[in-house]
Amino acid sequence: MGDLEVTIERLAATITLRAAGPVDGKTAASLLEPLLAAAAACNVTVCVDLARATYMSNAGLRVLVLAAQALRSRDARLRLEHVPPHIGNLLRSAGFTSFVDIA
Amino acid sequence: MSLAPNTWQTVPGSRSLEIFPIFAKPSIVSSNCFIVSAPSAILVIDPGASQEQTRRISDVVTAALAISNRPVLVILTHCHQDHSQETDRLVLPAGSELRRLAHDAAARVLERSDRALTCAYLYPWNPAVCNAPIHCRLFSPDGTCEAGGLSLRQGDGLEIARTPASLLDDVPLDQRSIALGDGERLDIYHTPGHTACSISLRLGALLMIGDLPFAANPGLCGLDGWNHEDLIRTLPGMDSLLDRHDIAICCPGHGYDVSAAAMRHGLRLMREEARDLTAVEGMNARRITGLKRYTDEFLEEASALFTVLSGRFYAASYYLFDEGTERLPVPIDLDGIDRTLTDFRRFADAFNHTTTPELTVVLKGVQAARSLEQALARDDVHRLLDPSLVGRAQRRLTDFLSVVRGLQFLSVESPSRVNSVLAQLVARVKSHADTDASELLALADDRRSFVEVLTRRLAARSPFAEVAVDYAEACRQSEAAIAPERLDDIVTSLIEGMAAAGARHIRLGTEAVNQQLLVRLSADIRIAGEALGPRRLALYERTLGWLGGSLEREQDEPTTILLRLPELNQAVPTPI
Repeated sequence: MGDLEVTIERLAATITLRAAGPVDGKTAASLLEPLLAAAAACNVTVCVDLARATYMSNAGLRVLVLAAQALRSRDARLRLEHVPPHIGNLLRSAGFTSFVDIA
Repeated sequence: MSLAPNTWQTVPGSRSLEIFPIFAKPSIVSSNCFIVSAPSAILVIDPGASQEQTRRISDVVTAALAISNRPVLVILTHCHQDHSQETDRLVLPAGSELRRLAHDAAARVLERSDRALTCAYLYPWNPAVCNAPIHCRLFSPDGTCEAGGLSLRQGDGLEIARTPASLLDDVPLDQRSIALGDGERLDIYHTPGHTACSISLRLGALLMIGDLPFAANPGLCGLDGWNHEDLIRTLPGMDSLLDRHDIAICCPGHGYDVSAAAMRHGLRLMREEARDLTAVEGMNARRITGLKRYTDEFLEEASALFTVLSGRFYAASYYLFDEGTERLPVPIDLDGIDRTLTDFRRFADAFNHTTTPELTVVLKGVQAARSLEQALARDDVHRLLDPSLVGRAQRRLTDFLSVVRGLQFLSVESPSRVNSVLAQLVARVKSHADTDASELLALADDRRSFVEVLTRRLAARSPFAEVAVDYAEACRQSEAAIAPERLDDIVTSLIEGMAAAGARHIRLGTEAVNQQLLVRLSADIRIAGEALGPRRLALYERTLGWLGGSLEREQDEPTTILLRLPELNQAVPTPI
């Protein structure tokens, strides 16, 4: 299972964080810090690419809510890309699609 | 008062006994070991099954012998591999005198290298059973060992006194005693239940009880040698023993020592639990493999239910609060739940890359299920969270613990009126509009209560309100041998899974074929197996199978799932 690897890419007005590995209670903090930093940047779209995320626990969902709240303060929404079906199902079942965009 | 690990200290309640406890990391791989220094002998109680631990024991005993040379008595609390494997592997100075003692039944099990009764079959590395001779077979029917005492070299010996249970009204346990010099004594009690050969050892105010405290645990009750009647007889005796000798500390075979009060409380709870274990399925390699697969499926189901439960709560917090301004009234330890599930998942995943015994994963599941049960036990959980999800989670935890225990709970489920269950389910799915504002208005001046009610409403609101669910009832007679809650749980989870995977219209129907009732769920799209959670589907299929029904994916374009419900009055197969 191992650790979560987070890489950050800035392209024009979009910051993309790529999460590879499990986003759970042991690793979610390593996504939270760069995600909140990205959310604090002005005039950028913030994306999280979950193509290589193997699992997401409630600690991962909490990180997404905190980022979404931070973005809401400047009328922006968090965008999730390449969401694996099992994680997408959790997000939809938890009602996240009303405040997070899933591409 | 507690024992410090890995150091010599006086045995509480004694003048001249010292103990060196080695607490192994709790697992079914190797037990604790307790080394006792007495004037006339050194005792090694349960060497365990770890080579590293054996080296440590050898070093400690060698150092003790250098101070005063005495016979070394290796004593087994029972025959299980994790306690006995290293019985003949201590490395002691030349000329040392070593004697092995165990219950007569343990001696016979070890002598014939019985892999079932020693539980050696549990370990994938196929360890050898220690069949070195047991010099003193305690509690043997002919009493030869006790009669002759424990003979040592040069005609010396240690006298063994015998006290039959009937002579001790207040402690109804068969007892033997060995004099250890300077007025000190080792009392040995036959305490069967976990195994037929289980013994407990008293030194001063210290009681070593082997694995008796775990005898009613799911995953451990039903192991070869486990006996319900013995356990029920032993437990009151242990209670008396704790009182009679003013015991201060109890040392189990795994984990740290506990106070006598805590052990008394634990054993009394265990008596309650043990009472219901009258018809427990026996454990064997095939059943453990089945339980391991069931544990993987349970992990997937529990993760999904608890993550959605927590996620809906977090989603409510998005709407109720600004970033960092206020916290939701948290009715449940969300971080604790996450830790439990994360640890469990990582442990289960690591199983594929290590030689961990399958039973270890099952026991980890039991530990996680008990933690999750406690997390849901708080009064305000039902008040603030979606009661449907909480109920489902509670029922899956109860199922898991019952199945691992080997209880035949499915045979006592009350039958469902399927039409009624499904009609109510669809009505519930459609009734998301909790629009009555009077409750909220009444709380307008009480901010905390207002937020609580609003949180509950948001957290309980299904995100699938826009999904159309139709129900077509095709047969009038609709009784099936499945509990209403179980049927509701399975169908609700399937509807939610289909909706989460993108279905916008789900048709639900019943039909009867050859007196068997079928429930058909059809989505309006094709749904990949991965999206529905293959292990969750396997869990529902397994549960229906236990009852005599089945679950199958009937077609893929669009996806249709067919539940064949168990008929009334059919024989219920044994779960795992």
